[in-house]
Amino acid sequence: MGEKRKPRFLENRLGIMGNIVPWVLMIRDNPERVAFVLHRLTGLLLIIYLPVHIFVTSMTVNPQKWEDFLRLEENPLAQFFLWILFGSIVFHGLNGIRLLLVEGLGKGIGKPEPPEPPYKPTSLSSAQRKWLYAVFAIWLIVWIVGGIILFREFGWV
Amino acid sequence: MVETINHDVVIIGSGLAGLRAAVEIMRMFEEKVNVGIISKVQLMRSHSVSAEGGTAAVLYPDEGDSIALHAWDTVKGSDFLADQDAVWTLVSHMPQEIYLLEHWGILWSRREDGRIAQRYFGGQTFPRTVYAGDKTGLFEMQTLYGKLQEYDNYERYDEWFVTSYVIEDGEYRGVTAINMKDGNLYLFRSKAVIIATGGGGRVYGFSTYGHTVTGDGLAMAYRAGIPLKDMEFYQFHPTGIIPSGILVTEGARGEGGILLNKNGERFMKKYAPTKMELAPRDIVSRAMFTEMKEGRGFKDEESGLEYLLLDLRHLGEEKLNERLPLVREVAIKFAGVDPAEEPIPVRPVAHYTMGGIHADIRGRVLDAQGRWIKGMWVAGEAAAYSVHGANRLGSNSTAECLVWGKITGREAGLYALKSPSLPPMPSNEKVAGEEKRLFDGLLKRESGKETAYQIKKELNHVMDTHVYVYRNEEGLRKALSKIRELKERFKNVAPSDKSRIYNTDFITVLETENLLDIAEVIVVGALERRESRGSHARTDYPKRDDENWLKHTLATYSRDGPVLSYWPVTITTWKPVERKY
Amino acid sequence: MGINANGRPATRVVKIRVRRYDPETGRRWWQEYRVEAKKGTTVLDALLKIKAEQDHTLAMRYSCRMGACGSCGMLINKMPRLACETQLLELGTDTVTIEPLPNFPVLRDLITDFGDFFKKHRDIMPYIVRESKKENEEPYREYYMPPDELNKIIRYSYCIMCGLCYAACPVVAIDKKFLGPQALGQAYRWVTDVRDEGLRLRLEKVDDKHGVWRCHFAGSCSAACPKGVDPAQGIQLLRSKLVALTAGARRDKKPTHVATPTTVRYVDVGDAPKPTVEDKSLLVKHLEETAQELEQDLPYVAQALRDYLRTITSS
Repeated sequence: MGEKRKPRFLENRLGIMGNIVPWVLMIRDNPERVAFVLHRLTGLLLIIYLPVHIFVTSMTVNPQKWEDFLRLEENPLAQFFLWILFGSIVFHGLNGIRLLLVEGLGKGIGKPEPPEPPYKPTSLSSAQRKWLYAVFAIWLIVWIVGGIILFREFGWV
Repeated sequence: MVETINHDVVIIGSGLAGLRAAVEIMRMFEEKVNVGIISKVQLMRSHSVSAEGGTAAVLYPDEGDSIALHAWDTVKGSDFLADQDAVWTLVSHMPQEIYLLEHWGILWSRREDGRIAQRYFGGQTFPRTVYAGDKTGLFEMQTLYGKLQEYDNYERYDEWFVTSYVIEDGEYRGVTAINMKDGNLYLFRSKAVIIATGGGGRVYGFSTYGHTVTGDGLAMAYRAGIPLKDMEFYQFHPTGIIPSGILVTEGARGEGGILLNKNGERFMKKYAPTKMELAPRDIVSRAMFTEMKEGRGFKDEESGLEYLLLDLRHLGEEKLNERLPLVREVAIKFAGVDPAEEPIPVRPVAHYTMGGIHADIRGRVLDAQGRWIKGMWVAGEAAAYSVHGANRLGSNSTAECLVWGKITGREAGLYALKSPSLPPMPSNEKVAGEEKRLFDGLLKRESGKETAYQIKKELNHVMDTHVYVYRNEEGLRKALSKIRELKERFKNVAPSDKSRIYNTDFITVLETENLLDIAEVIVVGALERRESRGSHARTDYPKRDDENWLKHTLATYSRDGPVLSYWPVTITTWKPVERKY
Repeated sequence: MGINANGRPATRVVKIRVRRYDPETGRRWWQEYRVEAKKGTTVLDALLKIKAEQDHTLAMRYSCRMGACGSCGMLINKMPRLACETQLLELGTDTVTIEPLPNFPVLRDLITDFGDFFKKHRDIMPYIVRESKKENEEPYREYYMPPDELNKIIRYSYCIMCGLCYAACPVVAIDKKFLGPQALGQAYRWVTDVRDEGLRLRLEKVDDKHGVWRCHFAGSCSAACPKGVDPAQGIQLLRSKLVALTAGARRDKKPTHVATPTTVRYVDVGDAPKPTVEDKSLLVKHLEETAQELEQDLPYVAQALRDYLRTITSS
């Protein structure tokens, strides 16, 4: 007679780590996932920045405070943060347009036709993939050029 | 004390027949009859999903097909061993099954006019195989599984391994099953049971069957004293891919594929001049074996297997993708051959158990005297009604599962509805005895040098060598003594994994025990049947012998091995004639 | 170790690291095995060989070994794949790591719990819904469905419920209630089916914050799918359908109707050989019973059987 035992199990949900750490899960041929992660991270950054931005804008009411703030902004660290912020806005905006087309209107993911062996998913080889590479390209160029302009003042470049 | 679970009807097996039966009970008696589906795999993992070619049904009588013609083809294909009343039942019930599945969502391939398309299969005089590309089994399972989700009054027992049927006083009392999730034994009590456990294909090593098809339902019935019918008739499908034995559907030949030997000849013209590649499977398989034996085959270096070629190149890539996507996928992934560019290496492969549990045409399980074991039904490949006789025609197997799934579902449901209460509790002795056998006798026993894996491997080897397409007295005798030796050695086998939760080692041991029983029944039946009929080809008795052997074999369990008796063939329409294609 | 015709070694020893879990002690560990692999050896072959020859206690699911049943999904070298159709040597690494599918609770070693997954699939009603139940349950013909309508959804019917998409999905990883790519992809398959009238019912289920809106097109589901189902596409199309409906678009599809019964006279009789037995009484009895039984279900079959009976009794 076997004694009754309650079966145990191991919750194996990857959580946030599965999203951002490539050595936990590696899906091949899937740059969309990179964009997905970047979109979330940049989104998070922008959300955090939003109240700061409102607070900063409110400082313009008091000219003295505003002056102080502008001096603070000349700090290289703040400049670097601004540059990151700038990159985030560019990426989030560009990729946002792509996602609106894909998610809202169902564009750029091909038609649901019968698959042909060896199976390649249509949605990952259709127009949206090209848009994605365009987003990456434009983003990097704008970001780097922006960085050059920004950091030239400090003589960093 | 073994815990008890009660249902009105218990269905064992969740393949096509099992799911069809469950759906039938739900749609006929949803509120009133409560069903438990026990399966040793998760639902949707049964090997029915690997059925490829299609399902035969007469849909276009206005275009030249006919119910009677379907019946005639089936009877002729069976080499006249089929019970003809069962055949008529199959062909008459089949068309509605096609429409029902269609109404529940299956994506049958269509003609341009939006109606259901059909194609040729071996042994048919009219193209009457309804198909869904070459994933028919998957689509049918999906549809029935999906349909089942519409209902609530059923319980699924995924990954419960049934170990025995409890039969007392010639009546069904219950079944015992191990829940793999906690490793304990449970007793299921129900008013009726439907056995839908499929065939026993893994007795062979080179086989189209998945690893889980180990004939458990058949072996348990055999051990419970239920006779197995016609087990020596084992179908060999002509086209199994080298080296794994994965099936290439007969639909490939139905669409125009041809078989070639080493000299590039279309050798089938010698063996079946009119039907060529579309002769029934037993004839094509024998032709292929003859070609290889006479030195016109190729040899695979890695696996040492001989093979011939199936050429589909002339069909073109587009047609392959539309009609035979799975064949193309499987050939690319498992043989490294793209059928659009190269011929596929194939050889005959164990494919279907024509025999099974002795039953009448309503699917009721019978004992050796022909008395119904009250409360028990059997459906699908596990049963022998016997609709396939000595050789099954392609696309009649899924048809059988659907028709008898429906019939047994309806019958068992009605029976449960009419019975006021559960059958008497089985004696504790029997259930406790089973528990003792499993846990004290097997699981807790000290494991020795012998392993179930080794025994299974040797069994597969001996079956592949001596009990394949061609058989003879000498080989069968050798096979029988080897199987008896293996059975003896099996007594020293115990699982080395002693844990309870998901002990797959233990399950393998139980499966191997079942395989050994099935193999013995196959060989004893084959040894006794001194004729060649359908799939059973004896080189020492090459002719069909209607005088002495137009009868079914029944094998009943005894301590010293199967005891054979015989059962008459029901011939209501056509007397046996010579079989030519 | 032999050398094959190309001069490459025919076999190679591969190290296999398996992530194991024993639920009875709660222990979790990596175990290493060495297996000889040749061309054609799949990961499943290797695991079965280990189970048979080295370690009987290794637990995993497997069945059909041909990529049709969906049992053997696992994480192989960090990518969700079916063990049976992954060639060991084509992975190209000397060490192959094998873990249970993530996002599913692990029950033992490589065996995971699919309960939630199956339930979510059930939620989206994977069957045809028609306004007339009677019409759906008592068919006398099929619904018309032109091949181009079929081709729109057939890709989604290739789903074998292996759970690879669910394991790959980054949203499932953080939201337990998310319906997941399999269920949503299937929802798209059913609402697009011309025979279906259950659009509203299904949209109620998927129009939810844990439903279709939660997906953000990481595309991992489609990249992982072994059968080319492309759930990512289905979900976006489902969502755009929902957007269009919310924006006031009219229903975009008319359900198809049942094919018209054949009016041509039956040529059922005559083709098959005439009965050759002397005593036809058994046949007559059986066919009459069957005809009666099928009268309600499918009149044309009953008719055909009676026609046949007439010809054999008249002659």
